[in-house]
Amino acid sequence: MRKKLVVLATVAVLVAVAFFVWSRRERKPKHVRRVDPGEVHASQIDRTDTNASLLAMLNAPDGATPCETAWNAISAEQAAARLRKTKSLFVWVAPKPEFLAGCQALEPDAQKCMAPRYRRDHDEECRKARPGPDALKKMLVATPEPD
Amino acid sequence: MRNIQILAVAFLGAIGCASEPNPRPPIDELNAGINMLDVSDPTWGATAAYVKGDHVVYMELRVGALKPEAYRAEAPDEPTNEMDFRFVDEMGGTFYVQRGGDEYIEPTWAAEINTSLANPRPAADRDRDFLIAREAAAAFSAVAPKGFEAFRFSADKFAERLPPSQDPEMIARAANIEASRPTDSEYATWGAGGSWWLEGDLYDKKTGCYLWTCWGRHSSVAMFAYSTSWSLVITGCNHGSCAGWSGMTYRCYSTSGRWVSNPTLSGEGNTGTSVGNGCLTPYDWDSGGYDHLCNDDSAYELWQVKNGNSGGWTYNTAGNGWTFVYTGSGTGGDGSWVHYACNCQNNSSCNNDWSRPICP
Repeated sequence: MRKKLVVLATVAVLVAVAFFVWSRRERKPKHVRRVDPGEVHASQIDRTDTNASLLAMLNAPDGATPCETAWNAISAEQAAARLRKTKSLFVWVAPKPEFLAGCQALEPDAQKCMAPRYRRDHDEECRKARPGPDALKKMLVATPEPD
Repeated sequence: MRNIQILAVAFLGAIGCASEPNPRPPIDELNAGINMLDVSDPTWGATAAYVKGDHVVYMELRVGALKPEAYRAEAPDEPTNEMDFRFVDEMGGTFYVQRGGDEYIEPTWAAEINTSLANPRPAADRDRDFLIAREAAAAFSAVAPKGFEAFRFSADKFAERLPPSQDPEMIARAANIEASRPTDSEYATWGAGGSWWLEGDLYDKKTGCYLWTCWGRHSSVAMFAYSTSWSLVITGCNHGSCAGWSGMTYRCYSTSGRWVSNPTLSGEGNTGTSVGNGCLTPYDWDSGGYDHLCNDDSAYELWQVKNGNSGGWTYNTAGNGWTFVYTGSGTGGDGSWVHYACNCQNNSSCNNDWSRPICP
């Protein structure tokens, strides 16, 4: 009788230990996900013409110089606008040689800020480096800022 | 029989040890310093606790919806998702919240924050909580595992800021507020857990920029509730960069201008059972439909601070007690006319709401 009890006790303890180990291993916290983190909030924003233009400029390839990068960005924006059959952000852009000449005449800091990704990452610096309106007008005329 | 009882106790004891963990274990179950309680899933969130001396604060972070590509491209260093982030004291009271979107990702937070607002902690306790929270955020950031970079970003931004009790600006404002405190006899509601002074700080930045042209502004409001100290801070990030983050410039602040009893900071279209939401209509770039954008949220938050609750008078030109509409002069004294609303379609369409709101 005593021997049986010892065997039973051993089995019970082993089962308990096995259950404990199993439950610990499976014990990943259960998270109730309230929001799908892959679902875009306000995805309409990405479908607007303005956004398509801005993204086209940001994703344009680098050129050999900041001015060439700026030219690539503006060309990409105009191509995106044509593709979407919508208005470009630029009312007028000078032909490439004049654009590059006008850009290269800017202060070096302003030239760097003509490149969209640099301008995005150096907001304060680029605000200070703003060239005069006449210098910009030789290269392009942008759509006025909305009210 | 006795042997069976012993076996049963051993078995049930083992099973009992495997029960679900407490998301906020008491201090005697924690180690000094940072305790990473749940960092198993960076797509869901994280929880941590920080022990200093005889006190503990809890950090809770949750991941919300993915921001539009436009925002991710514009601020690639910021988290790609809207993030909620809060600190909870050892009594279970929330004292700091960063809200990524319009509503809290965890729906229970709204009621819990409401409870905190109704039960202010003594000033010394709350000041201490903010100090410990700052250390907690820095410690969390230092040990957060790979995959938790977005959480580290929010923690770092919190740690960079002085706690209200050490911030000269907030100290000066508190002195002004205290100077306006009524005498005890007049202050009938004091001690009932419902007398507050509210402030809202507006921050903004230019957005949609190329060359030297920008298409609009993004704004965010840090809302402060003062009882005998700065007791609760709610930062409404309004879907983008949060107040105080790099690039966001402080502009102005609004106050309740009086001691408010039982205030609420509720979502528009809500009956006042939650705290700190923004507009609850859909969010869109070109507000004008049944929707809103970040500056409508900010305008709503500032007016709510001014009024002390989600109903009110000045900002409720719709007259139905909950619809937010503000029509008035714009920013910078330039004479422009603005129209902010949470439901732009039903309120004569919004205009100029890509400009930042004024501080009423």
